[in-house]
Amino acid sequence: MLMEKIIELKLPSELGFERVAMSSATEIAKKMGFSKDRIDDLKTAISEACINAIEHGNKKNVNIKVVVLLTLKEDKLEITVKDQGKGIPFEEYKTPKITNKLNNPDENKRGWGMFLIKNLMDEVEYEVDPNEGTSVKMVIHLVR
Amino acid sequence: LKSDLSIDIEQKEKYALLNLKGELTLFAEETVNEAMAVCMGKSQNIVMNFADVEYINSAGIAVIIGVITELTKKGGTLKLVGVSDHYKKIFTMVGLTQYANIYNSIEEAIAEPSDTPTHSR
Repeated sequence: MLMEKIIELKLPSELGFERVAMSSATEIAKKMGFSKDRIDDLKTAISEACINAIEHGNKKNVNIKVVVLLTLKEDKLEITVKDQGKGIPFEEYKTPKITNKLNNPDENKRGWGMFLIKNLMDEVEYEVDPNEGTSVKMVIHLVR
Repeated sequence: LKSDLSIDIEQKEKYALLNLKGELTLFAEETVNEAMAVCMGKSQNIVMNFADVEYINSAGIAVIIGVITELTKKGGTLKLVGVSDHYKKIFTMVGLTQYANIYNSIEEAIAEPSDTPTHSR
């Protein structure tokens, strides 16, 4: 049986560093044998999880990090993104509607991150702890 | 670690072609708004070419929604070309394609009349 391998990344809480997590995940997913379209899904999902952690979780505080854990298993890749904030706003978990964003000038045009993650990954779980921060775990299955 | 987007504008008689190059993220908002301001005086029919855009995130999607909002007010249209299969999927998932059609080529996009306002799609 294949040994579980874990890669840990610590990213500065600054927009743009999500690209580092995307690159690492891409390399790993390629080696594991994921298809190009699944790797594209993974890249978008990990990017959105990191952006949420940087902006909402850590409030772009450069003194704290976003931790990304990539756990390689025989038939799947698990990705956990943790911040050290007080929880991502509830709005971020609601299903956004484009008609509201287009027609209501008061509605924020953003807020697609969690929606995309849920739609692109095979499994998504999140834990919000006001003291520990938010942790989002995403799983993508390898279909051979 | 800011990302960059540059926009080359081709202003034609009936439409403006915006060739985007780089990354469509939060940092691109100002560049897109400036390009839109340049175009809007002459044409409200915009074709955005994404062939050289390698990364679009949710903040970038919000930028496109902002463009559609502005065009809707003016009765204009937004057409999208050069969109990769992955971002076609994302745009459809989000619902953008209800308001901005995706075409396989610039020729195809400009061949279709732009007289249907974006908001009535």
